[in-house]
Amino acid sequence: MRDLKNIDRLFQENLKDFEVSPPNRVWNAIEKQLPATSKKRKIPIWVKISSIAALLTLLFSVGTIYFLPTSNFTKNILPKNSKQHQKIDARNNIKTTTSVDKKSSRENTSEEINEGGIITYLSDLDDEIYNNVQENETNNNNNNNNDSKNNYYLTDTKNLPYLTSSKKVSKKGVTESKFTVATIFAPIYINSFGDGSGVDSQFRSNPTSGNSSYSYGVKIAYKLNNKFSVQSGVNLISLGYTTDGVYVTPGVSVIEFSNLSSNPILSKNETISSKESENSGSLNQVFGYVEIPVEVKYNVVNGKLGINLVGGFSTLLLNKDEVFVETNSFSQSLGSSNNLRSINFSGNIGLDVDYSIRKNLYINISPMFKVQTNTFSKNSGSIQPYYLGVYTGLNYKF
Amino acid sequence: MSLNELVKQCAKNNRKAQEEIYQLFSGKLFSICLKYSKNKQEAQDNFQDGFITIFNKIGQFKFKGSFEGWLKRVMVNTILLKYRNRTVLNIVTEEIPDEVIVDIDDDEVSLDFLLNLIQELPDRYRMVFNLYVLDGCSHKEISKMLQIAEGTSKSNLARARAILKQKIELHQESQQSI
Repeated sequence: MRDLKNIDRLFQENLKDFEVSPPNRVWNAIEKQLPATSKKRKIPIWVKISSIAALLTLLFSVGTIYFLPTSNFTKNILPKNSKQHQKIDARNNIKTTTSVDKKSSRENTSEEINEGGIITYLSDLDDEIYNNVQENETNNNNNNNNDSKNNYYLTDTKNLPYLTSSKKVSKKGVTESKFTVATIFAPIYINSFGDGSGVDSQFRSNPTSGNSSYSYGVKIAYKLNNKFSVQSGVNLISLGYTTDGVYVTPGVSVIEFSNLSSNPILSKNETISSKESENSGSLNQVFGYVEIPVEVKYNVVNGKLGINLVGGFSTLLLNKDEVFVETNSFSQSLGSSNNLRSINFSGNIGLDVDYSIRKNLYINISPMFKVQTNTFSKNSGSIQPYYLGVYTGLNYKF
Repeated sequence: MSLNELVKQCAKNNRKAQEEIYQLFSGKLFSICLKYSKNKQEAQDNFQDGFITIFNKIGQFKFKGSFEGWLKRVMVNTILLKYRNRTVLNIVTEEIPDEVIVDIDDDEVSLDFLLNLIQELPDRYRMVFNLYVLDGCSHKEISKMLQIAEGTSKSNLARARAILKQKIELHQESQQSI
């Protein structure tokens, strides 16, 4: 159809829905000319955070080395052992052992046996450790367990002053807002990578399992910006391992555990029956730490319900350490282990969900996964403990 | 991600958000460039420059009014700046009729043909024609944007129309003669 048309209309109508995509390569050209991605900006933030974290750790570790009397870590267990060295048959003969450090252990053993011969025979089925067992009469101290329990509480309370003092340290930095203090409680589930037992390498092939435990303490956090905050604090944590499949025989001989430093005082319970099945027991290693975490928190979701990612590490200071042997019929302390390092570290990663109750008050639940490094100094197989904890806390912002 | 969130991310130089914005609006903005530029190559150059300007200035967008409108204005302004100083044509104001009528069959002209006609216009005429006819600006606005007198804008528009009419008619003749 031929038409007389206003030239403006002609163009307007035809070009109304005109849309053409540019060639694909144009975006690449544009991208090249845009300022480099924010990666560059991120680096300084990370450097900042990590340097703060490093500084805090340094302060804490230096602080703990200087301010904490070492006796707290080493002498807290079994001060009453001497009481147990009663009525010992000096005739005890020992033929041992396949332990790794034979020389030193032998010296130890003979000393011990001379003064105290409560005799037990422990052996792994696979490892052929052979002992001459001589039946012997020994005093059975039913008090033992009670005694050692008391010691626990003692050790715990011993460390309380430390807890408060380090709280003061961390609070010194409080000058402006953006700070959060929180109480923390967490059930802990512990287990380990690798084979081995914390007690002795001879138990490497025995089934080991972690005991559930708990941790509590205080936390202090500082908000760097909208996304990042750093947090630290002090927690007390107790952990435990059970090595199963250990044979316990009431007897006259003493076997060496390379990683047990104190006198292996083993007592026979009068009520033990001689049935083989009841001689199978487990070794429980219980140890506790003062944990000083330094973590960075990254906010993913903000609002009444916040979700954060948490990563960092902890300095762990040993404050409790004891090994028990446990069978169906009795439980007995063996002393403390000497292969636990007094300071070790853990890498932490986890999630933090918080829910604000009021403007300044919120609760948080934070499942954390922590892997310990250099927990044991020697003779423990390739064991590397890790633990899972669900940290809950009441937080106050100021 | 909402458009507003995308814009905010672009301001933070988030490359993904920038690419997404690009994908969303490249078609519309490129067609603007084709209309305002001399040819496809220049359109591409202008488009590229315009988009870089957009990303550099995206932080200035205050979330008032339509984002697409803002994008178009930035793009057009980038192109205008380029051609504004290049044109040395200063047509003396003359009396030209407001309306130009062409005798045309819709089927005879393709979009490409019309686009080509616009691109072939001298820079200033092309700017004024685009702004006035296709983007609905008044002569007053055009005079400000191009820093010319209103009268100049009017006469530029008239000249543009005359040229277009002439070319369309030429085209029709050549079609008929075949």
